[in-house]
Amino acid sequence: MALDSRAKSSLASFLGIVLSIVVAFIIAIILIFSFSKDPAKTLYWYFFGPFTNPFVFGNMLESAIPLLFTGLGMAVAFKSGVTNLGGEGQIFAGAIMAVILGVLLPNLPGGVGIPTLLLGGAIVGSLMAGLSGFLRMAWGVSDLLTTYLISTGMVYVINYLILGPLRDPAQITIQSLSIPAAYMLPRLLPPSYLHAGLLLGLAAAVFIWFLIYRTHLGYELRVAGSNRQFGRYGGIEVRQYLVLPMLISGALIGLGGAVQVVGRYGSCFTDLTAGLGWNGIAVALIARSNPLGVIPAAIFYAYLDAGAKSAMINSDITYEIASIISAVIFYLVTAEAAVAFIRKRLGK
Amino acid sequence: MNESYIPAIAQTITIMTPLLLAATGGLFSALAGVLNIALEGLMLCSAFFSVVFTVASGNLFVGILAGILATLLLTALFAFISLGLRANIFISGLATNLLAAGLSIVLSYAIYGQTGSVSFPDMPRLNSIVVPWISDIPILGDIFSGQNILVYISWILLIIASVVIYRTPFGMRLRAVGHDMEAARSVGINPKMIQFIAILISGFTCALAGAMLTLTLGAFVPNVTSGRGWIALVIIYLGNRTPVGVLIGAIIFGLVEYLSNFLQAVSNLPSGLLLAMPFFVTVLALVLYSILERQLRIRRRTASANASRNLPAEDSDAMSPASALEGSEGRAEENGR
Repeated sequence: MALDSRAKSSLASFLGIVLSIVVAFIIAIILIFSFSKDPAKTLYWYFFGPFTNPFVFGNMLESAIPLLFTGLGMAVAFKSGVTNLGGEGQIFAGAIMAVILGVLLPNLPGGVGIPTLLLGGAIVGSLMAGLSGFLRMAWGVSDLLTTYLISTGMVYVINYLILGPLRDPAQITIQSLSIPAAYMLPRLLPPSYLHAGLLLGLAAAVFIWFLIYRTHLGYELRVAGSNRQFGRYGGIEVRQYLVLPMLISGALIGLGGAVQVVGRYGSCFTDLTAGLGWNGIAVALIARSNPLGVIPAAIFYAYLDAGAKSAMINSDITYEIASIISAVIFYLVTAEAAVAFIRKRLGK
Repeated sequence: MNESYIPAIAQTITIMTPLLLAATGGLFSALAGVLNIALEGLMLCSAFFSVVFTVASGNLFVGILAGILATLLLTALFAFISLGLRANIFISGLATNLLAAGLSIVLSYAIYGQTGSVSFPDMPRLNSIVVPWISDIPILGDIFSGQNILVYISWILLIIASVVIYRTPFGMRLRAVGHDMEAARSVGINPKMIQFIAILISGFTCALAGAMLTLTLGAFVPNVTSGRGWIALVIIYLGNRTPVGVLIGAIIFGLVEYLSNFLQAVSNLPSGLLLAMPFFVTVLALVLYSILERQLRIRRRTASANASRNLPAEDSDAMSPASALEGSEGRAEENGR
């Protein structure tokens, strides 16, 4: 094959992802055969369930929306060489901030109200992640640890807000007060939950791609991310690039939380994040941290999730099977040995 | 005389034990230069399997043993993928946490038909052991006697860990690998093998830590570890990667958690906020530690500035939490300033 070595290594990297997905599917099939009493039926719903009607298909695309935002946030962090393990808390904080703003400012016109709520969510997420970036810049505190710890602490605080001061007493289920209906984004494919947040997510992906690959700032971010020392010699103020990417990463993830509120739920409840922060990391890894790659990666991930949900509803396995499948992809997607093996094969 | 502090101390000891166990094993992987964020998942794995097998066999020993075996299997998988397949160890650590969480719920559903908490009122639990002689000593007897077997094992393991780390060839190799992998390789040490063993050791103690959580509870609760693996990880680094430091760290975080539980019981403070407290205290401790460490390093560096202007800082911090992700690059950054 007449491939230059650069094309060869990106092909190898892509095939590495395909390989880990194939292995994950094989393991999914094995799991279904071991846990389901009617494996054929479960397999059918797991793989084809999300396409059986427009309602579930729309819902699958809807569940890709928060993954677009968390995936983009994680991709920015990876590209810039910082570590954000606080996605769970940041998306939750973005969501609760949107609820708080919606409840406090009920009388704005929708065109002002929705951006206000979204901005509020982005700012809160941004500050949370930015704090970890600042701690690393100022005193060298590990961002890997502080992002996780701050996020986990915040999850408890937000749960307290939902169960206590912000709880809606009129509802039987435990949930927060709701934002005014005027602040809800329009639905794209009724009766499914798919909403205009999808367009916002796609726009964000293009914007972040442009920022990272087509601006000077993005260039400096990437240089600082791949090699801080080199960046310094190249005259880049690398220290600030411990904070800035965190601010962007947290903003995207917090925005994702706010979009969940204005697009899907209208309020906040205790299990709103449901692993979205972690899955964002998986999405970014599958996309090899390319912001445009995040789009198919998020949809693929949403498909896996929708398949597990559909198999749970229509057959006899539990939804958590999805997290085992994600774990398998996680395990293999960064395995250098697999990529090296494929590259060697291509070289022949 | 007010002696209400005695049950408080005894309870703190119970609370700190899972942290101490996980941190003792995690110390080995930390010294070998591995920031092992899988501690959380490894604990959870054993927390689940030790309950399942205790209930099935009616025997605590069998349960704990099964918990250890299952966790060692998961640990070996994690170590193989990280070291053998050269996956990013943080991502495979996350995968391990995710796998343990998912697998425990899927299996719980398959075995008990439930995805939430499952409690077993009739299962045997870890009982307190009255230690002869010690129990007769006033105050100390009340504190140190009457704990369960895993508490005593945690102390014994900490002593064994100190001996192994500082007094055996393996411990020397372990520290050599963590200090400078290339140098260790050049004197004939196989770094990957040492790291593999170190990770397995962390899996073993995490298994005991997980068993301690659920076998005292008599139930399996999804995500029962609730961040303890992460706090154990922080304890290792705050304890400066020494056994004594780990002990002190475990005591401090045991106290914080005790305080959080105590305030939930006696005060009107909302429990959600109190549950958040240990995490924020941990962040604060990390920040204070980093400031202190930096001050010390600057002082040391100015002292030896003339001697080693262009050499790397003597105190290799390649795997301190600050620079864990950057390896030697992080060190270069320190020197460049």
